[in-house]
Amino acid sequence: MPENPSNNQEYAVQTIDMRVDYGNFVAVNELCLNVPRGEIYGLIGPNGAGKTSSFKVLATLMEPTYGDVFIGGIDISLHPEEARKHLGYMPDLAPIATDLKVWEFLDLFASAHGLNKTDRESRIEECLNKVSLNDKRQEFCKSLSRGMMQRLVLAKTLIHRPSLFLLDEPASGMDPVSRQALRNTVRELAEGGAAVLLSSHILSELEDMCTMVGMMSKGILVDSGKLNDVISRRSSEERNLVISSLGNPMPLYEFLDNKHGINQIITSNEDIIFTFKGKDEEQSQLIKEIIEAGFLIKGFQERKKSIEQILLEIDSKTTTQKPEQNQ
Amino acid sequence: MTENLRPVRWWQIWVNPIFLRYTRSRLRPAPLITWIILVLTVATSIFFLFYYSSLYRLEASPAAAAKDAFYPILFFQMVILLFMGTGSVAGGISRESADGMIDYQRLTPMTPLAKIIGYLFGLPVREYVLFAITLPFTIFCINEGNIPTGVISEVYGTLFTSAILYHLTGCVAGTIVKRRHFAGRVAQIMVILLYFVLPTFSQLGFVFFEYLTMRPVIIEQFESVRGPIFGGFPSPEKIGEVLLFEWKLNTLNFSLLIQCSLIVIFLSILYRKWRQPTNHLLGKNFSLAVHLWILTLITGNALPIIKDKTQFTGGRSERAAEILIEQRAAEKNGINQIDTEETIDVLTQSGILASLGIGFLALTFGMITITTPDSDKFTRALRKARKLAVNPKSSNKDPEVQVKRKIKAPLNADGATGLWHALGFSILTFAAWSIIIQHAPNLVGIDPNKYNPAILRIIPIGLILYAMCYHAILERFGKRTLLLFVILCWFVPLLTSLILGVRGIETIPVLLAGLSAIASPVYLLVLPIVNTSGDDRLMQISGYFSLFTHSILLIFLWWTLNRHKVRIRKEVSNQESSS
Repeated sequence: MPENPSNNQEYAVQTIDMRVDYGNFVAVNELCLNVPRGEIYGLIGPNGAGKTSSFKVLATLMEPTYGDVFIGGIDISLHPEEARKHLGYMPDLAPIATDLKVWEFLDLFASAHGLNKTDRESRIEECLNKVSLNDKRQEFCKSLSRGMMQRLVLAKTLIHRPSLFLLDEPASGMDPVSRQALRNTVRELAEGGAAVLLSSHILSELEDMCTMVGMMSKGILVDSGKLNDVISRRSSEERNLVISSLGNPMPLYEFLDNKHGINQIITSNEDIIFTFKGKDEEQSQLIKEIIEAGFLIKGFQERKKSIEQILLEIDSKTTTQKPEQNQ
Repeated sequence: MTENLRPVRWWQIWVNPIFLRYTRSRLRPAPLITWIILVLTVATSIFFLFYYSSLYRLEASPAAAAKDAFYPILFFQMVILLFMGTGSVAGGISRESADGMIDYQRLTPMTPLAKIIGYLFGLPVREYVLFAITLPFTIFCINEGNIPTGVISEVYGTLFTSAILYHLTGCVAGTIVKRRHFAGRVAQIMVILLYFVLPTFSQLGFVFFEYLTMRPVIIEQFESVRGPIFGGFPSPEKIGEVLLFEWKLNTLNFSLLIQCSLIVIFLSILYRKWRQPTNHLLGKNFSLAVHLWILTLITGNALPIIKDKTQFTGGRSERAAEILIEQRAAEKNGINQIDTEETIDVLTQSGILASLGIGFLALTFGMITITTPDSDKFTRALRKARKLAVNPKSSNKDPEVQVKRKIKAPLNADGATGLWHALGFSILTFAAWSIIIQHAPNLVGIDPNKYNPAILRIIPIGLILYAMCYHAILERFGKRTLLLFVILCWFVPLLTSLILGVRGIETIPVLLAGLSAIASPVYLLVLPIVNTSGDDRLMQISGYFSLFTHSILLIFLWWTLNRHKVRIRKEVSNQESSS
């Protein structure tokens, strides 16, 4: 039996200390991912973070150097062919067969997955509708724009209704309308019980779409979990505060400038925006001190960080560290 | 969510998705019609050129004229099917590989064999159609020329197996060579090599290379299908039966045997590559079988030639021996002290033995390269062995115990050490070369006082030594270091000695060349000669020195290889226990 009973079946993807080496270079180091079914998991990170290598391993196109990978409870190093039945993979800069027509391209993969002729026709229709390419059915793939090609590959990925979707940069080259369609499709898939693991450079996109995120940098998974939990966790260390003062903000600016834990103070009209590093109690104490000092405050706001800010911070921290080399 | 679907079986070619995909893309009406017009134009021109030349200029009968048109059309069909078809297959596969389309196919649940069949018949589908377009000319020639059915079935049967073999060559080239245009060229160069270059190696004792082509079958049938045009050419010498040890095989059967063997080997390579692109070309045990099979063929073909020198067709080698003797005679002021006839005999046989020795060594190196793992593969295999609980029969499955145990991958695994299989290849090579040397009557038997039979029997061991050095460097240091070693330690001394020899310098070139393993089959043959003097003496000194240095090198390499493996084992154990 290919399934490993020792591994939790509720996870569509589970990696345990997965490591990928290219010679002496460690591309992915001790990656531990747990993606439950029905979740949309965004793997984010700058170029060279190890996302594509991770995707290739999960898609069974590459063996990890160390660690274990389970797709729907199936150990991919022992039963890659069984695991492949459960996954749909859309690579970064997904290629298409330029010498085929759109329907022929989908028919190739529908029949390769074993669908009979009648099912193939209806399934092609269904998938083309999902990616809004039905009007291009008879056109050659080479005549499609980059964004349309991406949508076509997404349709190809949907054709055999897998339970796990691995979408590496699915939105690249897509216009806003296509992205919206992609978002809707991905949500539908997750609502249907499939797990979707995707990566994107367009972080706002991921923020809108993903229910979980994993942040990678230099091959390491720096943080992972429910989107809100990650943002809260990362924001708790250092947060952006905005104080709207009544009248000239400069005295308050000078007051804050001398305070411990406050950085990057800027003024915008009557607003003072600054980052504060400290616990909730310390933040409360700061507000008390401002009021007791007699400054007139008409508003106060705590701004949580965006994923983009968090990622930039993580990346700037890790770039100062020396990349790990496999001895 | 995931559906339980049933993918196509490998033999269901008519519904094979990859085959259908190429029938769609490569048989689109507009380009196909252009191709058909082009092929029909060429085929019609060829046909009428030969048919009318024979019929009107040479005033032959229609039957004879039809026979004259048969071979030119066949040659054109071979160009379409073998040359163009192979280019299409190699180019197509490498394009899919470079684009990444092949990864999509890899993820589909079709069996590797179904995928191979799909590409094998799908990619050259246009060439098959173009071939079919030319068939009416062939049918006319057969009917009008009363060409016997037996001839047609032999020629076209071999054409079909050759097409499969050459297209598989294209598939293999396209799978291994990643650059698209380069793969197409490589495949076409391979076809030219197979057709024109390798058959010439049959002159050196590698007879079976001749049978990779259709040439022997065509030569056999040439006389029965020729009109006045081809009748003007001298009849090619019929090969008759192929000698394999004591057996005499029909040309067609031997051709089919050779071609089918290669088809099986290529299918195995593709099957493994489809399962996992990082797999070795051949499995370890299968490589041993392939090595044994090739050695058997070479030895089986070479032995009758060596035993009976009248069977030897190596005119060039014989002439080379004559030239060598003439040169020696000239050096000694025109006094020929050598018994010319006897020496030609010896040198001719020595030439075959040396070429077979070099061929065996090259084959052994090739097999070792295919089956030896790098450190990365070794590590992965260890991990997998651990994951599979090392020994399924073991009662103790406690992970801690498993970590402490000396984990080894199964001997046949790609990642397992290649040491034992390298030894296996070497021993088989040793055995084959020993058989050949023991059966060289003119080499051993001319003058029993001239050779030391004891040394003669052990000289093939030298091949084992060089092969094991090759393996140890490859497994310990990788391909790049091995390449450097081969160039610097084996090629440079040989080339330097050649340059110095041409320059007219004596002694040093003879000593220098002996250091190279590539020259070893020649040098090893000199070792058993007793009471030597001059160059033979120098060759012996150099040969023994080379054996000595390579022995020392091998001891060092085995020591460092063992340390390397222990370190990897420890690293894997540490990694596993920490996770």
